[in-house]
Amino acid sequence: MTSHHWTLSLGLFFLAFALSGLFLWIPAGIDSGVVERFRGRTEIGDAMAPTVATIGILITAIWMIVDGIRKLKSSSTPDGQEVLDRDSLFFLAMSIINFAVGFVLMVWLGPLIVDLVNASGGDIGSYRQLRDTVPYKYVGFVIGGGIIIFGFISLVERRWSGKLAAISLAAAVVLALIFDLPFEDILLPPNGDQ
Amino acid sequence: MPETYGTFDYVWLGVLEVFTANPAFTVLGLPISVTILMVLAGFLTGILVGATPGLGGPGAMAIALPLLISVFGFSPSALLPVIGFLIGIMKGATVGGAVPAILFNTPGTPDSVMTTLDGYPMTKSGQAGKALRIAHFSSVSGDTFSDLILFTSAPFLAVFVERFLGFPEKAALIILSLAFISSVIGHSVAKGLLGAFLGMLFAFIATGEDSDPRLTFGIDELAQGFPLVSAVLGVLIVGQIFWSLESMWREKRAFSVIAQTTMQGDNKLHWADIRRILPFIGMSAVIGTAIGALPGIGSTLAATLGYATGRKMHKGEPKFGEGAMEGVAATEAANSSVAGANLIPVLSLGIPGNVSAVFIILAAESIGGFDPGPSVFRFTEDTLNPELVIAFGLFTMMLFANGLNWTIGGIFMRVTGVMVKIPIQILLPVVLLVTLTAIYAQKTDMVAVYMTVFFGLIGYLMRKLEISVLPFVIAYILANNLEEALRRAFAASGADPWFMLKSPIAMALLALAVLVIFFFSRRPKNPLPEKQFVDSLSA
Repeated sequence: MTSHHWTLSLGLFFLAFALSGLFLWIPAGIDSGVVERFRGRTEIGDAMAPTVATIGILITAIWMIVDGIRKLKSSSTPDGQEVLDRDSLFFLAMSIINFAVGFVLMVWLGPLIVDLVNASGGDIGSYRQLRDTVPYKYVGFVIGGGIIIFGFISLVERRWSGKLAAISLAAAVVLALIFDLPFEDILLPPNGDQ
Repeated sequence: MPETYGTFDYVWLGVLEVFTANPAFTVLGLPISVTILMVLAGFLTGILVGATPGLGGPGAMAIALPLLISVFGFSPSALLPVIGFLIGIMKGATVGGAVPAILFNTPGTPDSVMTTLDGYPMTKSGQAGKALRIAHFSSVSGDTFSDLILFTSAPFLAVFVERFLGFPEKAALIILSLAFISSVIGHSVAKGLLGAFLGMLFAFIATGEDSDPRLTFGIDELAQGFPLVSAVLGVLIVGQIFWSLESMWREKRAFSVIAQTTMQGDNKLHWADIRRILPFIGMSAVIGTAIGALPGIGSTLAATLGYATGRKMHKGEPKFGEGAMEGVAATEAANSSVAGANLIPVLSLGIPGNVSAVFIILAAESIGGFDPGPSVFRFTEDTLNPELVIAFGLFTMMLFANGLNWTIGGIFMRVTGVMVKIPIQILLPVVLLVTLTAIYAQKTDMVAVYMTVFFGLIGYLMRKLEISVLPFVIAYILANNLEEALRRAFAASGADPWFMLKSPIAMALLALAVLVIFFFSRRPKNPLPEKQFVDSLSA
């Protein structure tokens, strides 16, 4: 789709978004009204600002619909550029998968290793007790973060290699040390909320 | 401490706060403060990141801010060191950006595109050293000029605003600023406004005065709202990284081949050279400062206009585009003079006009104790206004950073050419992880990291769909101030539904906002590539 088609599509999307916001989300999500009576005084309620912003979205959505239709119909207007195409959506999907895999490893790998050590008779305590102890405090960040870096580099270069994996892991290790060694109070992800 | 405080007392206290508070160590009996060290560290970092294609001042500020807050905490004494580091980055990145543009024809930022036009031909003719010296001299001159305008105009503007603007007028001023930013940036006024309204709507989630947080769908993680740092850094930095990675993925560029440069002949900067470039620096400094003072208009336009004006002024050989030192000077003076002037709306009105200013506001809001806006410049005589001391401390840090720029900036700048050899497709994913880690360091909550990625995806989609991200971010920051001003104005008017139209100033500002939207929506907005744009201006 060209940018003119996208302008029209975006307009339609935000028209639906604004209408559902005005008639469903705001009434259901805010206790007070647009204007409230409080101790005998009339005041602006919590619903006023979101309502005004949503009406703004509604007006700009209609503006974009009209603009999109006008540009698509006009023979003198040059075709818009490709903006968000199938390739972009593929890139977006791959990025989300990359983050999902990286974050799962980052959050769960450390506790999983501790559980495995405990299950094999190690009796080293819980991950929470070990979250500021080498190597447990690094393992999730380095592997999960390394995967995120490796995923993006491989995606951009359209190839996998041991060298890229080594570079990614090395970068994650260096970052872990940069954040951890000089700053006593800083916890690496995900150790602070374990 | 004096019993009453005059203007000079405030200035002097600001200077002392920078140079003597929190000494880290002493040299020959002289205390060296943490703030001074932070400005220096930020400045060197700024030059380094400015010289690295794909990075830039805002990215470095984004990564540094959560980390600095984690280290310095939220006490008032953290303000100057944290903001000092950010100012150092801002100043350093301004000069560093010219390095890859001149040496490798690789503009690190859009501002440096015009620098390549004459800088790289100078390098090819063996005058890389001279081009770098010209860029440094012009950049620092423009920056210093812009700072002087900031120091002299911001307090007066703030005092004027404080005297004449009540709550309705302040609300109208915020509306005008948002209308202006939405209208001048990006591909269409409608999309700019859409970005601003979306930013506001996100900011309204989980805020307000009801006991139950509004618009959260009952999701516990949203009960505190979106962390400001996640929203701002997500849309501005992470979104930009996604967008850049996707562009590289499409193009699959080879970044590894970097041409080696050799210098020959005279590469020094002589007084005769300075005399040749001074008129160009002067003109560009005025253009850049004027553009910088307006919210939302970036340094890229300043560089473009500076170059175009310089091209009209220039006579003789070599011509602009063929290695003219005046071309480098005109561009660098223009884009550097935007930085100081950008802080005029921040300090006098509390309205950030560009990305760097967003981070200064973010630092002030995160730490507390300094609320940029007209109230800062209250010259109270009986009691000390600590915010005014911080403001003068900020000016002192800017002058100190300028001093660093004049003295060691040029030397450090010339050795940073090596940064261009780092492959950007490796650098950006690392920067992405640094950003997320820095946010975690501040919030200590994985939800903040997930929200940052979520806002990064929003920022990416906005860029792809040609919706400008700056109106979104600035509206997100100002939305709750706007709501508060409107609530107070409404209450003060005795619940008059026409309360915004009772004040002539508020009415004039609102009318101006409508006019701005109308004016810019009637002009075709098909941004031309910079070179074409310059040609069209110079024709």
